Amino acid sequence: MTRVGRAIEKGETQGLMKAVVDAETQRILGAAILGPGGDEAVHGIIDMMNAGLPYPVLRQAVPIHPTVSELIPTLLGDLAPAQ
Amino acid sequence: MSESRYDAIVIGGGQAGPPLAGRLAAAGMKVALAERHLVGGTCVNTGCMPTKTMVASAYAAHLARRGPDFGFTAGEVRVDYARVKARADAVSATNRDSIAAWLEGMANCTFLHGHARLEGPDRVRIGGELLTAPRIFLNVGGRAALPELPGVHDVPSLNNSTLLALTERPAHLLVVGGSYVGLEFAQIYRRLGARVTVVERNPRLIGREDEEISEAVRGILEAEGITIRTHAECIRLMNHHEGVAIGLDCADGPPEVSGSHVLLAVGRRPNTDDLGLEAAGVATDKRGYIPVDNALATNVPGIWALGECNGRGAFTHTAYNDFEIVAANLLDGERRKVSDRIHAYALFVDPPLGRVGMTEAEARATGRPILVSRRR
Repeated sequence: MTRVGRAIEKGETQGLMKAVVDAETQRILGAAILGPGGDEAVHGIIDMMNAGLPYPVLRQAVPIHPTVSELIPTLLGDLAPAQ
Repeated sequence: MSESRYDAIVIGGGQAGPPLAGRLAAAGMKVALAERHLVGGTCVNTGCMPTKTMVASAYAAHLARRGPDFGFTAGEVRVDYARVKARADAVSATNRDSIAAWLEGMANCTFLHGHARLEGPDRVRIGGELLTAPRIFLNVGGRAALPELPGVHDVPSLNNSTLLALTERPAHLLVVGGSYVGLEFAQIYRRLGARVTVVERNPRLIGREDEEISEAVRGILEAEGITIRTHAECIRLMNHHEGVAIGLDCADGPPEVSGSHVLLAVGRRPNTDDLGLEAAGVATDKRGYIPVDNALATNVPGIWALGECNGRGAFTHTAYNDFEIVAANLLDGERRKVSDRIHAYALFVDPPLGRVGMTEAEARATGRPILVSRRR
């Protein structure tokens, strides 16, 4: 998390976050957030999956800055086909 | 022979039991809840609560050592293990006492202390008393499994329960099993000042996770001075003048590690072996778990299984959700299903890993077209 502002500010930059999405249905299939507050931040995605909404809805959310959770819309904006 | 009739019997005071008893009793049923040891189950007594309390102590000590990174010095950090343990014990006890008081004062509910054993599909013996009910809810939980490793019966070993009961911090803790339980304890004890070595037979830690997650967690732990030995084949335990030794044939590194204590964190088993299930005709799978349908019903009408013993989740939040499903279906006319539950959990190392749904590897295995994003 060396590019996550809040992690840098806290001096805790170890970790990463990732998300996996179904390319056709646009539903989030899963995610991992390893980093400061990762156990809490992942609930943004847990709640999204329970709501059953397509990922662009979450990509357009306006999160609080500076938080780890604010990277979730950014993460979903960088989705690319699995290599 | 005395025989007491109830509308419902709940066996086990773990996290699904008391709330279920509460809902059933509030609906006017005459309810009995039996607990053979401590209410609150694994979570309150030997799981989430004491360990996360210790994670907090370990984090505070770790941060104090990092003072210079933040512009201060706290001097030499000395851990008073007795006080760390007392803090964890107090958090557990407070919650346990609260649950016990709730059950003791619950209207329409009889709280029984004793081991329950089924004697038929509608009858349970608890101590000398025979209880009957048309509804029986098995919430018996699980415990650490003792792996059949060579030497396991020859050396003293610890599990999550007995490690937490130690009054002195191990000088050098060997952890067999590089998965969720083992890694949390490894980091806790390292930060509390112990030497720690983790031995895992698989090529990487937390093998259910994507490889990059496993590697990132490994890096975090190794950076704190935890020794990690993966690819450990032929793990065997031996007595050693230092305490205990583990033999391992790894691809690299010395073929033996020794320490003062060994924690065996290699899986769990359900508490279904002394429950009289055969007398009631309740089926179990080959590992002892009780198969249930989507409404948590067992193969015997009138008997349900909730929590870790049904093999559908080994977490407090899945156990509690089991209660919610059963209560909604029996009392609220709903048709909720276990299969609607989206799998989520965390690994409480620091920094923690929050997880939901599929890994990338699992998503790939479905054959569906997928998109992936990662940020480091």
